[in-house]
Amino acid sequence: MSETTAQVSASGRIRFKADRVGTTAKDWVQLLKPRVISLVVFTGAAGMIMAPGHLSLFEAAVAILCICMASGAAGAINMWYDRDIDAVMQRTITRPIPGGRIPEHEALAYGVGLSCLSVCLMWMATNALAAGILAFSIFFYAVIYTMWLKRSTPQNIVIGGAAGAFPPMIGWAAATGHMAVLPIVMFGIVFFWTPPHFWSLSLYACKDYGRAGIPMLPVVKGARHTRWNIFVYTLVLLAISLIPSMLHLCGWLYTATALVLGLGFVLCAIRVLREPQDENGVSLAGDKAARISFRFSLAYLFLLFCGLLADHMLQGWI
Amino acid sequence: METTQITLSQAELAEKQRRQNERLKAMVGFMILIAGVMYGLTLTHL
Repeated sequence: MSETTAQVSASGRIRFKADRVGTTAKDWVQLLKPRVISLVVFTGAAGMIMAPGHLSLFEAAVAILCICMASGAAGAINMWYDRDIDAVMQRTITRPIPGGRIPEHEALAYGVGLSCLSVCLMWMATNALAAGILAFSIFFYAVIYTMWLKRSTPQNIVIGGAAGAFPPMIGWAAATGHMAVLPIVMFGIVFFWTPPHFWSLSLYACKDYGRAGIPMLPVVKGARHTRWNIFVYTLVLLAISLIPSMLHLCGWLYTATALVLGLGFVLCAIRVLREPQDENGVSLAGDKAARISFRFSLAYLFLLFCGLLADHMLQGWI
Repeated sequence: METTQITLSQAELAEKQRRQNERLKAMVGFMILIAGVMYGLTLTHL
């Protein structure tokens, strides 16, 4: 075998070139951004379980599948559009399109096809409201965020975060056919959670975004400004997360969970703010606090929604 | 129309076959899933 057709990786496995032997099924799965799907499915399922409506187990499973497919489809369209910037960022250079494993037009067709299929199936399985919000969330992520906001404003994550916040509303609408205060508050929680979550990451992935010309907050306004923004958003998030308690939509278990987690996130933000840094706000400690804050934010959303579900089940049990 | 012929080594040919089978299995699995969903929806809506 010649050296130009295959390479041997460090682990001793032979790496074949996709343009000669074709793509793997894993490449097509990677195009769907599986990690994002897991988060979206979890918050969507939470909205569905919290809703007072009735869905059969089968319909609920189909609705979750549709949320899964829609999220993946939006991710595939995002990867298609962002193929130029993905190719210059270390974090994304190995993605299927910049890696040369999937042709760009096939990725677009895959994303658009899955989008249509997910919306049609959601409509058939549940109702027009759920299908409508699902379609809007795909449009919001693929067009409003990816094609417009991401490259034009440092507030891209703030407004674009709405795309990832829709699943609880979709789950609720699928189960009931109408909207209520609680799913809108759940939307608000994910919406205000997104900026501090993503800005924590962008603090130490800042060089990558700068190289790609993406106007992320640390690139445009600097690290110090970003640190303050993270802190302010964690305070707002703490307040928003307590709205269900103030409106008596949930019990003490959720209130305690939201308080502990919210204060924990604020503490992480304070550590990000007080981290040793130079005059521009760039960390002198390897962005350790930002890394901790990013990891905590992932746990925060998961545990907060777990608290909401546990509280809901406890109330039903009592 | 001009065509280019690609010659593959034995190992590449075997890998190509393996990937084709893997993709085919994934596609058939997905289609069965969608067919099952459509069938189930038809039953629940009748």
